Amino acid sequence: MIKDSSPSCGTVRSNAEPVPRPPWPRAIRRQWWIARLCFPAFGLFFHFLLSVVAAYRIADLKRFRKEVACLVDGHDGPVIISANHLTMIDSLVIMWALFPFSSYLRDFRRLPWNMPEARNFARNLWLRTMCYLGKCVYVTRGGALASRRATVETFKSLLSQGEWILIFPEGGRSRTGMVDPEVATYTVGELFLATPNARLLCVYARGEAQKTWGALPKRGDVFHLYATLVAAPEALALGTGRRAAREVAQTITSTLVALEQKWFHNPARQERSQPPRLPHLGGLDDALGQPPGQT
Amino acid sequence: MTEQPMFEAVVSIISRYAKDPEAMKQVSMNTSILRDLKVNSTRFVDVVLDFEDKFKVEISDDDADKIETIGDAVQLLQRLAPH
Repeated sequence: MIKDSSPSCGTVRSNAEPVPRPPWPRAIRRQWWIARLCFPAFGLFFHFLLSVVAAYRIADLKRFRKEVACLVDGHDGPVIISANHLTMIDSLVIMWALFPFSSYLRDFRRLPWNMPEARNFARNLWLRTMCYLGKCVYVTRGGALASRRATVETFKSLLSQGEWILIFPEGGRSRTGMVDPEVATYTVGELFLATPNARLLCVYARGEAQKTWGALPKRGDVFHLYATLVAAPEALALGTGRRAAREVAQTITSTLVALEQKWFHNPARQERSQPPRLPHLGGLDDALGQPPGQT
Repeated sequence: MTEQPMFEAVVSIISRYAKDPEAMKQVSMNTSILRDLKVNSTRFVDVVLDFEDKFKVEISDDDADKIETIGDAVQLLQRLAPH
C-alpha cells in the first residue's frame, strides 16, 4: 500500500510498543556521543560545503520540510528513511534538506545513522573520520553473511533506542539512473518488521542535472525532494519472516518509483543538462563533477 | 526424495538467480551458491523462499545461514521434506 503524503498524514503503527533489545554496543554509544559533541562544528562545516562550495540548492525547501514535519512530528520513536540512490552524497543532501540545523541540535536522534559501503567510504582517514562523526556503520556488500547480520543487529539496537536510520533499498547507486525494483534488498524490510514502533519514510531526492548515477552531483545543482510514509499492512499480515521483509521492501521500492514519477512530472522542475551558471572554482569543479571552464 | 531429483530441483530454482550461466553448467554438490554462482545475498533470500514454496517447508534463519553449497541445500531439504 502506498500512502500519499497528505496533510492529514495519519498514523502508521506508531502506537506499538518498542521491542526490548540488548543495549547499544559500547562502541556505538561512544560514537554517538562524540558525534553529538562534534556536530555543531561538523554540521556547519558540511552546510558550508553543500551550500557555498558546491552551491547546491533545495527547491521549495519550505514545502518539503513542512511535508516531513507533518509526517513525523509528534512521533517520538524511530524512523527508517528509505531513499533512492544516485550519488555518493545522497545521504548528506537528504539530511541537509529534512530539518534545519537547529532541529538536529535539539534532537540528535533525528540525524539518521547510515550504512555506507566500506569499500567506498573507508578508503582513507578523512572519509573514516567523516563517517564516524556522521553516524555511519560500515557494511561490505557481498561480504560474509555473519558480518552483514552483525550490522543489521546493530541497526535494530539503534532503532530500539529511538534513533533514526537512512537506508537505500537498492543497496548501491542505481546503474540505470532510475529506481530499480529488481535490485532491491530486503534489509530495510527486516529492520522495519523488527521495530513495531518505527515509521517508514520514503524520500526521493534528485538534482535537476542528474541524468544518471554518478559520484557527486554537479556544482550548483538544484534538488527536488519528495517524501511520504509507507504503511505496508499487507506485509505486516505476513508476520516478521523473510517473506514479510520482501513484501515491505517491494512496497518501499514501489513507493520510490511513484515519487520518482512525481519528480519527473513536476512542472516547477527545470530540464537541465547543466546546473545554472556559477563562478568557476578551479580544481574544485572537477571534484564536484563539473568540467573546468564551465560557467 | 532421493538425492538426484532433489539436486536437480534445487539447481533449477537457483538457476533463476545465478549471474554466471557458465558456472551453472558445471554445478555439483560442492558448488558455492554465493561465490561460484554469484547469487547475491538478496536473491539468496528469494532462493530460500522458493525452496519453501516448492517443497512446502519452513526454513529457519539459522538453517538458511548454514546453506553455502548446493549440497548443503539438498541435505537440508531432504531433512525437512523427506518425501
